[in-house]
Amino acid sequence: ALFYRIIKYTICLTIIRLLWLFGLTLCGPLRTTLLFEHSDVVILACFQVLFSSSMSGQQGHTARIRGVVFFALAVLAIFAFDNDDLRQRVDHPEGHAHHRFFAHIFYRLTSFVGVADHKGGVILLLFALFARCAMNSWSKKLVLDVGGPKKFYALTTCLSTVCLIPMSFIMMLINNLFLDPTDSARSNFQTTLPTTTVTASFFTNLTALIIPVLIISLFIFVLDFYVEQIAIVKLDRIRTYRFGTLAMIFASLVISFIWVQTVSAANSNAWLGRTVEVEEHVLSGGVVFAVVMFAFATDLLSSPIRQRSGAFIGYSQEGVPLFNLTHQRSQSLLLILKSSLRDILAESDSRQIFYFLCINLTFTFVELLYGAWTNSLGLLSDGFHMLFDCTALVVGLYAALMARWKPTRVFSYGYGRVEVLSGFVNGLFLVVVAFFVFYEAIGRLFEPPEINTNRLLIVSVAGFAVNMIGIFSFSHAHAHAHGGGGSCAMSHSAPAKDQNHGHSHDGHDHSHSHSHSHGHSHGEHDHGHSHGSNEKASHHGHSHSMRDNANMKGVFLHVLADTLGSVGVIISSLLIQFFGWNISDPICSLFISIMIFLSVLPLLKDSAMTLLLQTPSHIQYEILDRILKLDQVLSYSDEHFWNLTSSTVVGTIHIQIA
Amino acid sequence: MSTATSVLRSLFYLLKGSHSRSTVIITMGTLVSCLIVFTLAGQTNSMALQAFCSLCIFDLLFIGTALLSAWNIENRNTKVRQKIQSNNNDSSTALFIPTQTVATFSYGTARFEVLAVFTSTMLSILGAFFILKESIEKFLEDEPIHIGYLMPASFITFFMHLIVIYFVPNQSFDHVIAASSSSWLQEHVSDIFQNLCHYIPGLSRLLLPRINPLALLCWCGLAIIFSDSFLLTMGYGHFVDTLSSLLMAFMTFGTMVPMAVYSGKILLQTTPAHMIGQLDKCLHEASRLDGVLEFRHEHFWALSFGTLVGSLHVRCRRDADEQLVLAHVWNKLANVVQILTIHIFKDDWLRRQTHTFMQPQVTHHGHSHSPSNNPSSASAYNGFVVVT
Repeated sequence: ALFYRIIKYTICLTIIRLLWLFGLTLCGPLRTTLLFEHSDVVILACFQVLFSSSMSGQQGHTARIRGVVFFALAVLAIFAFDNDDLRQRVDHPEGHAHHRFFAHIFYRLTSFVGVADHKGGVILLLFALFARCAMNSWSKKLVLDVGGPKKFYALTTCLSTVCLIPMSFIMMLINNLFLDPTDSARSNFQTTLPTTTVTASFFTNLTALIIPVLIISLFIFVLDFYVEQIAIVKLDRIRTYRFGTLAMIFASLVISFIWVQTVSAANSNAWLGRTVEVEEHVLSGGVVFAVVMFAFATDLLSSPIRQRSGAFIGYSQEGVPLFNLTHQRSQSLLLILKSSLRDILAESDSRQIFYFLCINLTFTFVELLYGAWTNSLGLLSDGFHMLFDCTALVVGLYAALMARWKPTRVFSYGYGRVEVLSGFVNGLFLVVVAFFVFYEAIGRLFEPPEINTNRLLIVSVAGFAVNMIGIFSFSHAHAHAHGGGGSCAMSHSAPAKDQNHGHSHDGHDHSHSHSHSHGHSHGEHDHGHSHGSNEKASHHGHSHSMRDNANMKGVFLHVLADTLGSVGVIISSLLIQFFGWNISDPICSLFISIMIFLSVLPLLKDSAMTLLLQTPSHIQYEILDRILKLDQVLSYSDEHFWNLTSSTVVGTIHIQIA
Repeated sequence: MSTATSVLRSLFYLLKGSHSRSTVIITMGTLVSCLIVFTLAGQTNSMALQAFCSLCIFDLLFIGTALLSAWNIENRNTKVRQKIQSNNNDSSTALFIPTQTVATFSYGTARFEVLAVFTSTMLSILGAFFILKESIEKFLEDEPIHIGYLMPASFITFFMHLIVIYFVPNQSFDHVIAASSSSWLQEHVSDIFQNLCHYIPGLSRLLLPRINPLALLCWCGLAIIFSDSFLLTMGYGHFVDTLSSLLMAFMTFGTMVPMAVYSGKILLQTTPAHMIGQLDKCLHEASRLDGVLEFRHEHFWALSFGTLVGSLHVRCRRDADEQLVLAHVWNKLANVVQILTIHIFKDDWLRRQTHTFMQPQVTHHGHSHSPSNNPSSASAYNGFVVVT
């Protein structure tokens, strides 16, 4: 069984080394060193930051995040901002004979994907790095089972050599060449030194091969391993990795710099009478940037994190300090999804938003997929626009869910106001949309662009249909609410406005209230509670027909604005198609933006008034004066009444009682 | 027509006052630079520049908030109702012209500032969001970028923004910046500076204090635009531009979200996080007072920046002196809570209704139907079921 595991490990190791070799041939030694020579500690720290939320809030977490960002930036710099000029000039003409069969296959693959050769190498190297990392952590137990890292290392190296020998023979047969011995030699390298000099030169003579191979294997296998082991024993592990990586990165930079300086000499250098074709990788700003970034990232990620094991609670009876080790346990994702789905479907508002969101999202993804398939930019950007619109729906949905949460210590009135706030935010969202549409339209008014109406019409009609579904469902919801109000219209005549329950309390001693400057003889607290939608509909009836829920109104307006946009696109594309009026497009967008803005204003005003604690219009002074007619009530002061949500009124009043 | 005259009148008023004259001049400057910068941004076709120039629009909102809070302070001092109409200049107050000035806002107009801060931060968050989407679309469209206007426009924005931030007195934003949690940008920068001060201790006086997040946003944005234009001149397509605009948008998010959360929580009528400890201490002390049995229905919420409103029910012992209890509880809480309403009641078996009011909502539901079924008893009090 042990042997089996070793074989498995060896195969993985060989594959990773082969990947590394391909990467090396594609990217050149400097970039390979930069990308591949990271210690496992750094990579594991990266993944820990990315995928675990448990350590958030701890000291040093921000440094880790920064390290990950630097790492990503460095990789990005090598991937995108490193124009390898000399390589691009070669650019693989079809007649170019690749040295190896696999390289050619890989080239075909990358050119199919559409990534440059060198970038393909970067991806390959990153993959190899992650695989190596995973394998190293996986093989920790194996190392112990074999009996020490030295034995393990020797065993796997020999085995992988054995694995590679038949492969190199096959390669030789395929290439129909003289046996390229560096293949087998190089594939055995443990990859810890900048191997610049080796890759560039091809030794083609067997007699000249023996000595370099011996030297290389001595340096790469034996010396490197022992140096690392000693360093780990003398220093600690993390510091070894840290300094090792930093030294390697900078050394490779310096060596490649020197190499570039002497490149002309190297190029003209003839080795045993045969000119050597050197594939040169120049030094670019992107690489230097990447070196600096990698250095920072290594420094930040490998610095030990100050771990807090638990919160200090106090001392036990024996005098031993006690720590609280319980972290809040994260639930499984499935459970959260299930429970939130149940919550969503529980009430009609959120259910409607959710269904419409689903329809919208499916439409968006169909559009995006079709756009990517047919390579149509218009479709893609429209898809992104739809996705953007969906966020408003998500905000509305979340607010509708949140509004049902129980009151807490901080949110003592419950979360009902969230709906009002979300309505306000959705209104602001529409204002921003209107502003940007207006801005774009003004820009286009002066130079109307040529618009390809092809396929635009179909998409906009489809979007219009989807939005019409939304409009009908949401307006249906309103009608339903009003129907409920109508059914209990008999209670409408009752002047009981809201479920306002106050109670006053007559005191016994009244001298005190006069002696105090603040003049509070008594506090009375009117507390409101909401009870379902039919009641509020009956009370607010027709005067505030849409006011019953700012959140729903915001969502509705958003859908309405989308519909307007579709209509505008349809009209303008028809005009362009039949009359060729290109200017109709900006004019249409101008109209639409103004209409969106005007339609949003009432919602904004309403929700802002609620947020500003405006006194509801039905609470008048005459009504409050009736309090004075009550028994023993002398006066009232400090009356504060406001709409907590659209259906609930809350207030406090101070009453002086005889 | 009337709105135009009122705007003119308020403008005249602002010009007359010495405190606001510089603000008006800065506003004009911002407006002009806004126009210039946005035309330039439209010319360059660069999303990164557009993202940076949206700071100008934020500046306008910032000035609006500043005017509003200045008006608020003056309003509080003079209590003259006439000035309310004459002074609201910015667009956010134009919505809120009070119709019945006395009764509509029973708590006064201090909450306007909170709404103004929330609106301006939220608008810039949404604008950043929109820019995120636009830059992805622009990346797909693949249009060439003209670099020529990139630097002048960003310099105009930069100087205007710094002038607005440092020379327009804005109490409400100052408070929010001081009280809200720091943004990720601030945290990272302070972390970097701390590390730097390990090596050069002399800089600690300069670098360690908390940096104004808005100024930080501006500096970082300028740096991004610099590197963007550098890379564009080097000839790396508009992948760079998309990337830097995304970065700008995320920075704007990071800066604005803590402020928006802080002001939004005030709008949701919650207790501010930094007040909870103090409040709990006072409540604990008050509950130990002689005669106090328990507190119920504690509602403490922030009216505006720094003003706390509270209402609570105090159940006291049957033989306690109610007025004394009221005075003591009032004394304890008045330091923390500025506007306080206390209701004192006794657990009295003669008055059962007191208990029914305290019942949880389930029983309350049945109870609430009684006024609508029996309108005659409740109609006199406009639905306030008065239980004595």
